[in-house]
Amino acid sequence: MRRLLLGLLALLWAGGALFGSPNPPHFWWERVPGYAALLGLGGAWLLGAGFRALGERWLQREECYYEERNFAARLDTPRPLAPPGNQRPDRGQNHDG
Amino acid sequence: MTAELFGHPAFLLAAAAVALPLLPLGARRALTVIAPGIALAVLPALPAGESGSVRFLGISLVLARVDALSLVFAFVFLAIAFAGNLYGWHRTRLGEQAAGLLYAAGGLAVVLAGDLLSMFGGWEVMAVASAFLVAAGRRAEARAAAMRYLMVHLAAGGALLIGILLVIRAANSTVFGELNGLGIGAWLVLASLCLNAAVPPLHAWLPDAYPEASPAGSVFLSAFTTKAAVYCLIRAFPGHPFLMWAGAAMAVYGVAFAVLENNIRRLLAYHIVSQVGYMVCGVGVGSALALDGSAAHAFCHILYKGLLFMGAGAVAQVTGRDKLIELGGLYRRMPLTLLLYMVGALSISGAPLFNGFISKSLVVAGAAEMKEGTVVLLLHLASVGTFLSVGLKLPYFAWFAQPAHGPRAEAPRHMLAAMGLVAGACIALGVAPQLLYSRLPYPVSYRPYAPAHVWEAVLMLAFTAAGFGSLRHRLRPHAALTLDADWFYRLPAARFVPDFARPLEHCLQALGAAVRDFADALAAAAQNPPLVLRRLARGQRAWNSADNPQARGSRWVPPYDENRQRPPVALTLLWVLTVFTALAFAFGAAAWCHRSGGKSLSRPSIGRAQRREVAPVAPLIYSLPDERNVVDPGANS
Repeated sequence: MRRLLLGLLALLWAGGALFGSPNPPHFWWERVPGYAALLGLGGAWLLGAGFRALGERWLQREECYYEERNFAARLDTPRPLAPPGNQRPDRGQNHDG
Repeated sequence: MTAELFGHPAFLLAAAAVALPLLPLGARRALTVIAPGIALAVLPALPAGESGSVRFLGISLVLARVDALSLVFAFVFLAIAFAGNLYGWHRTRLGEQAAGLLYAAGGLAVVLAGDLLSMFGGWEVMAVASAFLVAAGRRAEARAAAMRYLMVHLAAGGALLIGILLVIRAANSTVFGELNGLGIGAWLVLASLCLNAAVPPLHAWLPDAYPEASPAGSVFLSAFTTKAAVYCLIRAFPGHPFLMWAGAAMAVYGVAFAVLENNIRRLLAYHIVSQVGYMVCGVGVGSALALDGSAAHAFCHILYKGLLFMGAGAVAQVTGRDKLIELGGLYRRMPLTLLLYMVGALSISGAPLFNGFISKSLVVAGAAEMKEGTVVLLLHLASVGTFLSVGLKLPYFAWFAQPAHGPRAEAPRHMLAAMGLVAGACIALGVAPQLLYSRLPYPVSYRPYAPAHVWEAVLMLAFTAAGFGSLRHRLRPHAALTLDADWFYRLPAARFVPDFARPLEHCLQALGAAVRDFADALAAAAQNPPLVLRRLARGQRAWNSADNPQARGSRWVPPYDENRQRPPVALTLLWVLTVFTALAFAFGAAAWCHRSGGKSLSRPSIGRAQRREVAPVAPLIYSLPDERNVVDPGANS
């Protein structure tokens, strides 16, 4: 299976090398046979291995990163607006004047 | 004018949104789909050029300017509003349904606006409605993200308004045309548009908010805000050199972050940043081909990104999960969803026969035409990263990667129908590009299916797939949060906000407690006004703890007892007689004054002829007809 896939890729590369260059080329790399294959493979490795390794090292944190550090969350905790001694008694209570 | 206003697509959608509360659920669902359909049918009937002028505070507002550029955006906005509402047929909450329609109405108002102030109005409607859509995700995270989203967009709206007022002053015109070179106001407008187009580092609101919305809400969000910003950039800043480099950088930035992402909808959100980068880059290149490319790519992107969000939303709806580490093995449970998702994935990756291929290549060809080699390479790299994440990583880890499990459980039929419609449009445009090219602002002679271009695309995609095959273990997702530019306002703000907000919060709490005390006192006094008044008249406290030992300290007075607190009859009679006597004297005095001409009581009056003429209030903002010779991308209509 792997050989079949490699053979197919080689065939595609050969086709690209023969027919895949723009005429006239805009840039120097378009003269390289099958340059698009290099862009695809190189780009995938650059992003999938290079950028990912850098990102994991420098940018990734635990999922609760913001929650743990979010001081503002304290503002969201409900607090009583009035002191407890200032509550009115129940309406059903019987008060005699 | 009224007829023109009623035929305006934004008005139709807004009217439908207003009518929704009056209808039962079934009719509401039908109206959310029918209204964009009617507006879509009405759109071609709008007269070309400017119409729907209204005067407001002395300013002439042009609510409808129809040209090729505005028609492209208006058409696709209505199409995705139709498909998005069909996809969200299951929604029951009135607020979410109305917010979706209002959001689309705001987007249409922006792309059809002929003047800067109308554009601003539509923009603010979009900001508020979209914040509601984010909050409709209903989780606590969604509400927090909606608040951050609203804060960012209100700040951007403020900058936009200040910029617009400065531009109007500089240009002496309210016309929404090219703004390049109009000083600080134009820069403020550009900054605000860049924020709305999610140009890094002003982009963090997008991946923060979009994944938190409901599945249908994400479809709407992916379509309007960033694309309305792209429309405005095409209209106002064509050929701005900053935009070309910013666009190329954001195209790569988005894919680099998407590679790290675990949440499927956040991964797609980062790809909005990347794809909008192509459009912004095309605006910056500024040639006719590149501007056509930006408009075409916005059109196609709205379709395929909507389709991708629909697929991801369907997975979230059926499984209740949206993280790749929790998914896998869905290919037997949701094969149709996979198939339709892959149409969107191949479209965004620029595979031949799909719509992304015919639009993305216009932008790249535009940059190549201007010999911008670095930009072309960056756009190619973004294309590779797009296929790597959206076309390979996401479907592999969501639908495969693990053994199939569970019975078949496809998304609901209305979701599949909406996805099928959009997928059909993606393929139709990919197969017949002239359907779109013939409607672009400038004539297009570009041939996307030139053999060299097709080989280039096929080769790039095939070898990207080969790269993924060798990297798939490294690309396995894991639970983590990726820090982005939102770190700058989420953490420092979290540290500084308490210092600033606590004193304010304490003041507000004290004020609230005082108001509540006053209301309590008033309510207690109202129970027995004679007793309270008598106590106050005697210099006593109105509330006496002896009234009720159990309620010590509370503001409570015994209820009114007519047998104990009723005043004597004689006192009541005295009050009544006193009042009547006072009234009789007042009427007598008035009659006497009237007979004597009122000279003794009234001041000399100012005659009509003596009144000072008051000059009319000068308008705050004055507009003059636009005399500037601007390059109008929509002039081809």
